Amino acid sequence: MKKILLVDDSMTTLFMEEMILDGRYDVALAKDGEEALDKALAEAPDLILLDVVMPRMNGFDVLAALRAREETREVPIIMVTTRGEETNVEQGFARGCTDYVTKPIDATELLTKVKAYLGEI
Amino acid sequence: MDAKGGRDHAAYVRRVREDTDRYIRDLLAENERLRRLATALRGERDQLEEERDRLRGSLSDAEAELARFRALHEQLENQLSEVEHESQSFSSKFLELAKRNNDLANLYVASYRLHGTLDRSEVLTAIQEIVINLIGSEELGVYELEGSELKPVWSFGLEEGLLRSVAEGSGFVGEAAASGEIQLPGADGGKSRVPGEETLTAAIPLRLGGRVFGVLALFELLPQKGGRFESLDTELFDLLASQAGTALYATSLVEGGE
Repeated sequence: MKKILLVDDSMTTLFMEEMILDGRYDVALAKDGEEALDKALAEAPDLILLDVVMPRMNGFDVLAALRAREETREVPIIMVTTRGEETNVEQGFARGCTDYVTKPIDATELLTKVKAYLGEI
Repeated sequence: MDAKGGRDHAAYVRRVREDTDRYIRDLLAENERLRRLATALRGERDQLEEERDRLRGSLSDAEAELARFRALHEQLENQLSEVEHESQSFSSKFLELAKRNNDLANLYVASYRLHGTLDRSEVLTAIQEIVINLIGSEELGVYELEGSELKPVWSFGLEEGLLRSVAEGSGFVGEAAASGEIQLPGADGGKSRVPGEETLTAAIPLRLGGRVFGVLALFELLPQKGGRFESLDTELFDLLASQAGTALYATSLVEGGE
């Protein structure tokens, strides 16, 4: 089963994402940016869902760090954001994210994008 | 007539007779030729009539076959239309169920988070996360009722001093407390808003049983909400009204016990 790393400082969002994905994929959780970087190496996920607004290390910085590493350079990363404004989306793509979804998360949209970037559709 | 004339006349008669005989032979020959030609043409005509009748029969069969195929084609078109309609119906039902499933997951997550702790700050964090991540607003505040006055006790994402004490029944926040009903100002709410409620989008009474002890106020929505609430949001408001109220009240009991 493919593995997805969920990164969010919100327990609610992590729980929601886990409910949507569990059973279809293995999931690993990280509650902040630093834990995300550690787990991205340790768990070798096939895809990462990455929150943008996090304390200490925000999602864009995590994204840049993941893209700087050879082990995680090619992993699909979907940014999960409350801020869907164009500038934030552009910033994400400029730093190397694969796609984004806005909160509140729509389960169908999230699953469709995950499947697409895992090559399942 | 003299002998020479007689010989000339006989020769003439002989020539006429010979010409006549030749003419008659030619006529007979031509007649025979025409007779054979007529026979041949009659035979050909009979063959063509037979062929014509045979082709008429084939054409009739082909027309019958064509009519049968047309009827079959129409039947299949109707069946295809029914199947497509049924498929669309199933797709719609599937989408409805998927949405409902998603909504129920949201409600379950919200409920789980609210009742997962007896620590007040963690309950407030759960409320904050539910409002931000499941409803879609990053500006919220909580009022608690003291006597007949609602006092702001907590906020997130709001300017310092925006939330002010409100009399029960005053404005949308006060009305939520007084009536125990969720207030959604909407576009027509301008007249009843009190200062501080300019960007208020929802006032949710926090209830314990039938008693209101506070109000959860939501302000500006995230851009992707399009300025409106969905049916799931209404269900989350109902959940927050009862379960956030219960959870916060439980934390006060724990704190009071300590």
